[in-house]
Amino acid sequence: MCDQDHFEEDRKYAEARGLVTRKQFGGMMLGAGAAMMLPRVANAASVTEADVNIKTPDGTADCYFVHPAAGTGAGVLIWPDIFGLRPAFRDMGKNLAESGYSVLVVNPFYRTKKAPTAAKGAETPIPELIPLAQTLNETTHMTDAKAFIGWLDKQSSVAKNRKMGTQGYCMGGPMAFRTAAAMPDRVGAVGSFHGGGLVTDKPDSPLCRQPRATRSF
Amino acid sequence: MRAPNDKTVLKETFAKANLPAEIEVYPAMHGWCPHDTTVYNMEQSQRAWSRLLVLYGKALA
Repeated sequence: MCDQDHFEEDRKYAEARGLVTRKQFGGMMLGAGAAMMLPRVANAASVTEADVNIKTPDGTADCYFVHPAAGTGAGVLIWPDIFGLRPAFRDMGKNLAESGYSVLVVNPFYRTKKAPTAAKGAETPIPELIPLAQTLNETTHMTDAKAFIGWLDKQSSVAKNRKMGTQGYCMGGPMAFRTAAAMPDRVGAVGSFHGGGLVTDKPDSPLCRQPRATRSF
Repeated sequence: MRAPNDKTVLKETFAKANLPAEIEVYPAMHGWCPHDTTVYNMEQSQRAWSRLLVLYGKALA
């Protein structure tokens, strides 16, 4: 899944693009992350944002909820990558809300600790985060998906007559797939970006769960 | 871990299930979407984001 095998290759790639020197690679991304902002949405809707706590059967999840300040939008559930809930994912959620969606970005590791869950954000060495990722599995994905989609459906800013979307990154890819499997009648679209472990030869392979109901990927 | 066969399995499975799916391998390193990663690729990330907006625009209308 997350590219712990490729750290050296990633370093070379960043170097080749002139982003960093070898010496900088370990410590560059806090500064660079602040400099690289997402492009603003054209005709952006003004949005309302809040840190929220969501009860699940396994505890309380600290999450970020952002939605158009007026009216309703289709609900969207965002599953971050292994670096978890952090400023970059808040930016992405906000960006999507400015396009008219009511967006929940979750801390997938709430059972273990509150966000931020990666000590150095996206520059945290992956091996340090593997134990966190290993606390999650198909059962927790399904439990959480139901809790989060259910929570979204109770918000006045979420359009009840429109299907919801879900998108996941890296280890969040399988979580997005399983969200559709957990709530097949409520989820209408799934996005997985650099998803890891979507296809396995095990019976809990996320792909095995998919071919049901009507959805777009 | 590279998974060069996954795109084929994904395409075949979605086709068999008659579900619409856009499966694409972007020319970027694993982790290229979030803008705070070391392998962030602005051009490809923005392209993926625009495809996401198209998908949501259709499927969540």
